[in-house]
Amino acid sequence: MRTVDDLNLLARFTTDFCKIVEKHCPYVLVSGFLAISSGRSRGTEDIDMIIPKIPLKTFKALHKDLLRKYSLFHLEGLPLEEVYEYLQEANVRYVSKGQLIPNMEVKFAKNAVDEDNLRKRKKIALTGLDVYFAPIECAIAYKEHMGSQKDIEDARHLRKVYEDEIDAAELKRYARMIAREL
Amino acid sequence: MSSERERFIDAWAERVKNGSDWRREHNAFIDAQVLQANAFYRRFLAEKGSERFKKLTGASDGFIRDMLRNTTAKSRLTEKDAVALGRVVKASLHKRHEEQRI
Repeated sequence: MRTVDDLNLLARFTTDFCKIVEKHCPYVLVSGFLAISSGRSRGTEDIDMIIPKIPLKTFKALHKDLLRKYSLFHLEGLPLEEVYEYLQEANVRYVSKGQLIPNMEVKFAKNAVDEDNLRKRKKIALTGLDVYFAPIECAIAYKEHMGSQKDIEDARHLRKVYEDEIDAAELKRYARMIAREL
Repeated sequence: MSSERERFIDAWAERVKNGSDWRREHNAFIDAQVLQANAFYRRFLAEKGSERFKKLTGASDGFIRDMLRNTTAKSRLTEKDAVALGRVVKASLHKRHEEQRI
């Protein structure tokens, strides 16, 4: 049985961060972190998290809670209302105090794919992590849409590792949705 | 993707899928990358100063102060580095103070 000591630095950072966010709103982890948590042999600088467009009051509580343990990477010192405004259009990166890597790139849901991921988020046993991921089919479709060598390798890895669990119809649906929305 | 690369990805994915003892090796690999990257950025900040660091990373003054405080607290610096970092912090704080006054 795995214990918390078995977690690598990325996993520990992510798990701790997610626990705080979950107290305030739902979240979903997207992009490359699923592949890395599923054994893909590569590192990353950032983990991508989507949260719903929460009201300022909720964000204020979340942000305050996060700042006990983390710093904002490039907006440190900016008034909270401005950070909230910034989030309407862009991503905000949180880091452990004094560390540059890893960082959590948080963004509000901005399109149908993001909303879908929040609705269908799930925990994935093989990762051994108590956090919510986007559906595997969406992670693969997204990676194949992005198309860089790293993305294609991530998708290939996920296809292989989860070949018994992948729903082909869902994969097609996500591929269409991503092509339309992104 | 080259076929050699494809074979590597497939072989490793197969190992993960089969649940063999991959996790320890994987975690060590990920940890090493994270630690190396952070060590690089600390070194870069110490050697090149906060302005170059900001240009490279986009970090804010507040973040740099946190990073310096954390690094010094963990005694990962030589005395010479600590003196140099002290100057950077002082300059950064001074600049911030000046900006706030304006």
